[in-house]
Amino acid sequence: MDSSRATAIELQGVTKSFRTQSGRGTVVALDAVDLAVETGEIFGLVGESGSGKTTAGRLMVRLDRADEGVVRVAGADLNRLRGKGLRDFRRKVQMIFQDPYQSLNPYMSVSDTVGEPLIIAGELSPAERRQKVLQMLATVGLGPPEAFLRRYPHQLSGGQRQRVAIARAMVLDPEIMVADEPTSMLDASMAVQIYQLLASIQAGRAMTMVFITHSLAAAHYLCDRIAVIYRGVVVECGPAETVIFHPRHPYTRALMDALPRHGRPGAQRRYGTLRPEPRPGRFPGGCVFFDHCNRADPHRCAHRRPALRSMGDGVSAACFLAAPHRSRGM
Amino acid sequence: MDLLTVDNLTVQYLSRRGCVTAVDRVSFALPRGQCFGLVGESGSGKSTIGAALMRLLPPNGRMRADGIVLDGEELTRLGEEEMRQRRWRKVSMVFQAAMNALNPVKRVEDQVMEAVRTHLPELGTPEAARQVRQWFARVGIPDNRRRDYPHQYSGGMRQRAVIAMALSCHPALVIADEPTTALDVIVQDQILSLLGSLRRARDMSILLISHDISVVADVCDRIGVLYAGRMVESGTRREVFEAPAHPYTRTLLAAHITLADRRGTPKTVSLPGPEEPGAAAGCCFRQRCPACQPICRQSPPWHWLSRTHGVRCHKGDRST
Repeated sequence: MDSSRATAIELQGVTKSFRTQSGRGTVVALDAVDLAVETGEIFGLVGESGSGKTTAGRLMVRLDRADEGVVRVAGADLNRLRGKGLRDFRRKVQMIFQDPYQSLNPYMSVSDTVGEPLIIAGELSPAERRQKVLQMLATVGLGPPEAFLRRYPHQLSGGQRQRVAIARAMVLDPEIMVADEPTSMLDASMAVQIYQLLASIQAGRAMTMVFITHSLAAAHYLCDRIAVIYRGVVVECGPAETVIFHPRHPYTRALMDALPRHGRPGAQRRYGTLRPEPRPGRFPGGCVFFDHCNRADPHRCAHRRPALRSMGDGVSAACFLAAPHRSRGM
Repeated sequence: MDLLTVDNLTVQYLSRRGCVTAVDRVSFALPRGQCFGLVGESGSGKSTIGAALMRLLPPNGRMRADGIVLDGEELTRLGEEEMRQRRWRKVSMVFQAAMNALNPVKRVEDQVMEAVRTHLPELGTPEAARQVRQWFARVGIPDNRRRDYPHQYSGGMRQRAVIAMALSCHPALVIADEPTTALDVIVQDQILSLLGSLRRARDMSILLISHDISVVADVCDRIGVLYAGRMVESGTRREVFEAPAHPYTRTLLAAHITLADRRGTPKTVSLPGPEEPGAAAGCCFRQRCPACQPICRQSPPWHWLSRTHGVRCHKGDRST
């Protein structure tokens, strides 16, 4: 209750691991993650495949539960939530999944897909429901909405399917929306339209949105603030513009180096923070990026895990060597 | 001198619903030692072109062409066995590694070895083994990982192995179909620079097939833009990116989000995906085109804007 006005989502020391398929090992998907998403912002979780970004998103909507740590969303402690509290939570927090070819039920028409949450919430008459569904379809750009009501997923393109999924997620007016790579299955021209749709929906309702992506360009396009995740650890977090154009963590810098040159504003600089060959061996207690880091100090970085610390300009970075904000020149 | 010229390539797929034209009279030329990028969205026919050049179309695919000349040799006149002998030695393919390019139950080294032994039988086993070891070193796979199985590799290593296999018989042309699509950005960067350095070192030519404009922009000397099975524009990288002449190319470039874009800056895009190829007469882009005119009901001719830059649009160079 205390700071729930400013903070919509808060992760404190959250750890989540999964059993491997063979059942013998475990994979740590998130390792002592601290995060705070402010009410009304678009917050980006940026990372490569396997970084833990999707796991973080799933914890926020309580599709999974943390092994350790506290997940607080919309004022509720998700570890303690059950019964009516959980049902209320489900209304307030929604998720859009990666693959609209899998997330929609092929046996349900668009009308049923978008209307089902309203039936579960049980507040509207059938006529009102239909009205609301039509209105939602128009909002997500499926027009004329009447033409889509009786269609099934197989009759829709990928972009249209994702719009249906967004309409379903939006129909209960959630406070918080988690969008997990909503465009990864779509062509580029579709992707922009989905981004624009998400941005306009978010702006119109002052909704809090978590946008999970592997693309720095998409994160930069859409997000107010971003967190860069690597191997289950948040390595850098702050305003999107600053993190991307003045990255402090060697991993964020390596990501920037690896981006295609095309369409990059300003002069190209190379940080060169990625080692050509990773260091052999394992460094379980050290920095997650140590084995790939060209800048690392073998004494410090191999043995201790750097905590996120403030760089002074709204950015925090988990690196012993990251320099706090001085001037923009760097 | 062009290594590859493709003249009016058409590919159709027969299905229960009839005949679908996936590639419609596509022509282009790839100069020796250069990289030609084929870009287009899903369904544009770009992968079909790659498969047709390798003559590896699925059984329901039919192709015809006025000519496909590779290294001075007319491929369309070759029989199946002759084509088999050209595959891998003359033209090879780097597949998207994520799925099925490697056999899961064979050691990676044995798979590369098999490719070399099959296509270069004259080498003899010891020499083939030596060359295979060299290839692993060239693509940056450590010695102690050669005997691994594919599942023990990361995505990037698998793609390196697939590249080693495709290059192992010294082809003049490599067709790379979405070679980095399933990979993370850091690995993508490594794979693209690996392909680039091998191309320069071995004087290969590459046909890069990709949906990702920024990859094509970074890597290719020439670019061809496909829409609904037709080549709508082609030219040098500068011509296509700095003076795009086809409305579809402009839409595609505008739709691509880069770090220069921000939420506030509107992107003028309203473009549904490609319709079914060959569905309508006239210009294939007509129904989506912001500059459509009555004349667009007729099929537009190919206009040359420069020696290298061409566009299939009635407005030709006069469109703005």
